[in-house]
Amino acid sequence: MNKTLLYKYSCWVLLVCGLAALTALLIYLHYTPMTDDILVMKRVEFSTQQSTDLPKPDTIWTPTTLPDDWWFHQSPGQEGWYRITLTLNVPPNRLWGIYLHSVTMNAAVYLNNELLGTGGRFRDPVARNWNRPLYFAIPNGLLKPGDNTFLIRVKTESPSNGLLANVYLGPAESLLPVYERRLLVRYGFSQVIVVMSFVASGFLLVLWSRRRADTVYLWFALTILAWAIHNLSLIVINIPMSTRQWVWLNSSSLTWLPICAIIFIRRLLGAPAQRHERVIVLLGIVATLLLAAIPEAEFYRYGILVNSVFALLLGLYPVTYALRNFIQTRSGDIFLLMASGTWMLLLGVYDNLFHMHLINREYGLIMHYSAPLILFVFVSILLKRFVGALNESELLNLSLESNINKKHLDLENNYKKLRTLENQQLLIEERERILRDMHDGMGGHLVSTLALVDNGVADRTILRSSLQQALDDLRLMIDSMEDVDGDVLTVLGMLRQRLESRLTQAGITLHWQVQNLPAIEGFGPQKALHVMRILQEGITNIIKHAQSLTITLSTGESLNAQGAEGVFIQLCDAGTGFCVEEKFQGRGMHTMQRRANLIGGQLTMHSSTSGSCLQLWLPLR
Amino acid sequence: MQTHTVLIVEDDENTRTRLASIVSAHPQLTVTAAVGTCLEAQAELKKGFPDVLLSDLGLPDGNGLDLIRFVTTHHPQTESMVITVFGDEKNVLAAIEAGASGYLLKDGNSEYIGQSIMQMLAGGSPISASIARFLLKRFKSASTEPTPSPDPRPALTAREQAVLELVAKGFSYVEIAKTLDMSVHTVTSHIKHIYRKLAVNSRSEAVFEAMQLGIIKLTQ
Repeated sequence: MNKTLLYKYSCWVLLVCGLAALTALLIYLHYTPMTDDILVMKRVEFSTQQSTDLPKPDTIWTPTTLPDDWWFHQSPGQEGWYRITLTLNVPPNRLWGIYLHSVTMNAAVYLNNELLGTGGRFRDPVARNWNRPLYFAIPNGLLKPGDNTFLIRVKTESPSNGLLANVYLGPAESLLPVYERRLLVRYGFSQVIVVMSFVASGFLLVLWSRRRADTVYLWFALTILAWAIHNLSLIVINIPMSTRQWVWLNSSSLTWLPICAIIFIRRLLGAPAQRHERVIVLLGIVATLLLAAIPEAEFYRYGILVNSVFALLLGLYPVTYALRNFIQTRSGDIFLLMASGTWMLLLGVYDNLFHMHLINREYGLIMHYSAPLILFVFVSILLKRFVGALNESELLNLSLESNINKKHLDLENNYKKLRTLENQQLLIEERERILRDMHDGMGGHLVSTLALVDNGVADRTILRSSLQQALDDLRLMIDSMEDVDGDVLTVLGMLRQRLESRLTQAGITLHWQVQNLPAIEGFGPQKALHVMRILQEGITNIIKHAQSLTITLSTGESLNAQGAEGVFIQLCDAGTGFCVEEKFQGRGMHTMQRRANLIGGQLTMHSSTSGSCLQLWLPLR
Repeated sequence: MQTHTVLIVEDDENTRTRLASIVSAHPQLTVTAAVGTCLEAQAELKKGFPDVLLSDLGLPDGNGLDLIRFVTTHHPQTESMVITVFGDEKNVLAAIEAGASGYLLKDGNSEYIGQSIMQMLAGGSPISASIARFLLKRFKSASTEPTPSPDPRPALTAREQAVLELVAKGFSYVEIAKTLDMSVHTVTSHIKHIYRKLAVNSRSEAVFEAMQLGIIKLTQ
């Protein structure tokens, strides 16, 4: 079974459980197990005397039965008295009490002209006990054998609103549990619900304040807040304002409940803010103002009721909206929202019937009992969304990280490829250079040796010399490729070693007058080889033509004609000298000049009868 | 006059014959054998170690370096020389690290070959400017690298350093001797010592590395 299916099933299970719980609650509300020793006083007498003093003996008492809803009285007033007569043979030997199941709004109970207790203030604003059962203990000894008269004064704020439900008399130990259970279910639970609602609303407001963009939290907080304010009437007995103001607050908050719920459900399901939302809000404002403006009599008689119906009709919107969405998306969450909303609406219908006096008012309102279910379902869904958003952002972060890592790797790979290509290119260029050199140098020597053989030259020394030259040239190339860290002197040293035997054979002394030179930029194999070749050519020339017994090789730093920094290598002999111009025309000189140009250097020569000097200048950069 | 025995290992027949004739022509040298493979060389060495071993590197059935290493380990009195075409850094240094005392250029004339062998027997070692430069770099990195003790690798003395530097600048033995106020013999023996240190270094480096890997342990 995959997850969504399981989830859907659990939704059903949850809903059924919720409904069962609520149904059980409602049954529990109506069912009050009573023991046999409790007397139900249903036959009573009523007087509409509007007085704070006990009714005089000449008062007219009208028999009536409880529960007595003043809505149905001919001309209901704001106050009334009830007379209940209890005839006892033997006064009770236990503590007795009197339990008023339901009274609207306030009651004071007298026994044999003694005040047993009241539900609060009788002056305006009257204490509102409509949701709170009352119990008064009967002090020992007050009940006499024979007739006992109970007088119950009932006062309400609006004439048609008065109510006195069943009155119960009996031993305290039997009656108290009944009273307390009723108190718990009707009053205690309501207290819990109101507190819960305020806390939840506050919670969500704080949450919204942290995420202003998610207005869904704001609107749900406002919905719950409106409901909490509306539900205050369930638990506040002594109101801090006038009755009219209090009832207006109660009514108007009921209007705002569905209005905020509409906007909430629209945000929750992703609908954008549209014009008709503003219209609805406007309607709400108008209703609120109207309620405040209409005169008192109309307010109590029709205003509240009309408003209540209006609120109920408004409440259809969120439920049908959710239903439409559910049909489209088949989302389990939406189903839960819709189902619990429908349930609330159904209870709201009951409450409306209550206000229309179409059902027995003694059991009170019930819509608020759906609050725990609503809160649980809705807050769960909101939290689920919240956590989902968190999870999503975490996943996004992870995928972003992995993306970045991937891009990193890609970039690195690209760099590697680039470097490899560069290296390959360098290698290719180097290979070409080497091949060129081999072709120029050693290749040429070998070919000319071959030519000598072909031409029938048999002189071993000539052949040997030719082959030796080829080998020497190869050696020079290999030397040029040794890693010398750009040290020109080491290169010159290698050259010296290669030419040592030739110099000794020719009987020439080489004076090595070198100085430390700074490193030349980019002095690699190519430059080294050309320098060596130039100098080799120079030395060979001296050996062949200069008739000198000494060669001096010196180095140093100098500036060229343009003033650039550089180093020089100087070959001087002590020979007979020659004509420089002539020399420069020769092929050997040409090659040397070409090589010098290739490496960015300059070749100069001077000659005199005491000797000639060949100078190679190389730039530092 | 004392004659020294020479074993020649060279796989090219012509070169081998030429070298053998040049060496035998020298009054102070005799050729005990001239072979072309490692196997034959080993057989000759079993008969007895010569005073001088001249070995090529690329032999058909193995590397001349192994021969040189074998000789250095089992009979250090024998002086080994590697025969090379170019005398290039890489081959020469490999030979030095294996324990050779020097190198010989294959195509050198009879005078050069004879002189080189005699010089080596006299305690000298041939060196080129580029090899000197390489050695300077090698020993410098060994001293600047932070190494934990015990560090079995030796460093150059100041004199040895000076000699190497002048060689790297192209000065001849005679010129170096004059500049540093020592005899030519001292110069060459310095170079020989440097070579020995390199061989020790390469062996020590192997030891050091083995220590790092935990393969061997210094017994305290």
